[in-house]
Amino acid sequence: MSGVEPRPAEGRVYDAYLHLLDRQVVDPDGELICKVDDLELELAEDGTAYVRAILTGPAALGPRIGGAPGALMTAVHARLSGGAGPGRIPFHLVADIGSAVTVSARPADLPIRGFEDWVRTTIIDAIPGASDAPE
Amino acid sequence: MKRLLAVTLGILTAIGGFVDIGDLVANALVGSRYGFALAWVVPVGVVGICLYAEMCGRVAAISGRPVFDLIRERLGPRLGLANLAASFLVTALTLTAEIGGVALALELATSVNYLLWVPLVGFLVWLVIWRVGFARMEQVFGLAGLLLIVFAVALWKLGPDWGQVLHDASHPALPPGEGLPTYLYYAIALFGAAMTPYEVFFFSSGGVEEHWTRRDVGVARSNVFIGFPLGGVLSLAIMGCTALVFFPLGVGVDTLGQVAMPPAVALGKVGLAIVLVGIFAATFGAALETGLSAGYTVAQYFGWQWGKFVRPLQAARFHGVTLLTIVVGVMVMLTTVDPIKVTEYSIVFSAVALPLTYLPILIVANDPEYMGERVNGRISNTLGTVYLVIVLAASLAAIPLMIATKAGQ
Amino acid sequence: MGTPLVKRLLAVLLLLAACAGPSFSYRDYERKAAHTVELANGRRATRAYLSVLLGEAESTLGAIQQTFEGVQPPDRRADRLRAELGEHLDGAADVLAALRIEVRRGHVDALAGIAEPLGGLHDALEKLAEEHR
Repeated sequence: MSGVEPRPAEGRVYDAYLHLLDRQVVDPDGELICKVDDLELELAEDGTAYVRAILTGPAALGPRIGGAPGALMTAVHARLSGGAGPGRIPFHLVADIGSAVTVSARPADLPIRGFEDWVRTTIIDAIPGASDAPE
Repeated sequence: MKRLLAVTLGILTAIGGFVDIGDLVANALVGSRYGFALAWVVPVGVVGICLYAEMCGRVAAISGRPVFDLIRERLGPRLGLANLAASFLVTALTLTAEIGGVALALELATSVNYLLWVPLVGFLVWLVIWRVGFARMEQVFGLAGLLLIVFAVALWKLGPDWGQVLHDASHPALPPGEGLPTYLYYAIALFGAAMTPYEVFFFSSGGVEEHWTRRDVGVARSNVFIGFPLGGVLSLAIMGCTALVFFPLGVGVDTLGQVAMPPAVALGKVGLAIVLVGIFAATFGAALETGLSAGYTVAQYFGWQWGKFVRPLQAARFHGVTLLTIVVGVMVMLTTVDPIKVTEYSIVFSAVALPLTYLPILIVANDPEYMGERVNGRISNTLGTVYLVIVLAASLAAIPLMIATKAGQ
Repeated sequence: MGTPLVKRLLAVLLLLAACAGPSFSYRDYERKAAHTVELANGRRATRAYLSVLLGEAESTLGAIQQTFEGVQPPDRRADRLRAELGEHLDGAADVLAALRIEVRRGHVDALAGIAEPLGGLHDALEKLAEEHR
């Protein structure tokens, strides 16, 4: 990330590192979606950087962890997902940034559910009582 | 009145839920080998866990997020991953030990070999996690664990010279023939048994499971400050029992059957029956907690939906991790490794992992962004830092001492 | 006769531990073992529990015997010690096995009689330990 200070036309200034990265992403009801594993940045014409999207999943987290564990994570994910890139949540969906990052979309609508869906359909679905409401 | 009942229930649950297989083995072993010379470690450990459990409970109540969730935010993904690895592995090892403990308790009650019980125990642990509501699960096993009071009753019945006991406890002396390195090794093991990492993470996640808010900080505190110390008293009772029965004979306790002997000696069949049910409840409850904690830590690091407060379908990966960890625990037990040995390793490695798990808690509990004005006060921070130094010392000394004393020989 | 069974059981465990482990030291166990009441006269413990305890004691004893047999005696005197000790350990193993069998059969009242030799065994082991300190 460049060291250039963003100059927003309006609104609050956030330090992406402190306020965005590794935050929990939740939906409007508070359901947990994912973590902000990385950010997709883009340079505007005037040289300022802005955030285009939240990236999530092992493909995004692996490079940030770095070293052997990171490389392993990225490699395993690439293998199992057939080379898919990191999950991506366009930043315009972000509704609020507090102790968690709230996006105005439901988990099901976001294209980031690979592993959860796989575990659910392969293992959890088969067990009786999986759809029972909690006591 | 209803509030008072709820608070009392919480305290009783905390007392009964405090003791697990690590505490049973550590306290019984230490009592049989050192009498009361290591009794001082228990209060030190209890104060430590009270301190940090209060912080974790407060974090859950104020921020609505469990403390482990926030660790990655504050430490970054790399340190967070190291923390996860250490916490998860120690928790998984502890879960394995608890499964062994439940199977041993069943063996003592039925004389059917414990290995035959292991798969059934694993299945039952998973089943209860899957189906039984969180609050009910905690209450049932917490209250049943209170039966371990039988150790205190047995201790009283055995009629020790209390003056002598107090003197021995406050003037720790090495029994003849015992060396200092082994003494210190067992001090660390006992300390690790009292301050196992999973307890604080579970407490915090449990607070979120039960939807604590700022109004529940008081309840959390009463559970911790009254419940845990009384749980520590139970630990000391276990130590006292073996100190009275086994120490004079120079016999070191190394099986669960021997741990249960003093209540049988003092109170007959009734005492034996009560202690076996109590041990079953305490270890089964701990198996539930460690199983859930294994899922909590992984899910909270990666940001997955977790918890028993949602349908299993909505938290598939969380339940998958818990299931997998239980299966691995069962398989490890089925290799016929000695469950007591597994327990000993789990508590020593808990001691090793403590600084990595406790430092982030101190950081998060001081963060005004999550805690608002309920950040740590000066007492919490001073004591918290002191304990950080203690756990660091214990952690650094644990492995060298384990090697030097050949795991306490 | 009259020595509580558990005292003898624990005494055997003591001697086993003293032989096999490092530096468990002696205590005046006779005086303090008065604490331990008759565990196994059928009124203090369940059959299942006793059989597990006895099984554990047998395993411990078996492990000690194995270690013991693996050690090469360095000289003649050690040879004799080895022979005596081996005999006592075998005797203890026989008693423990008999106890376990009778407990499983439910003859809990017969246990005190069967365990009788343990007292003598214990004394002999003590004597050996004193001689070869």
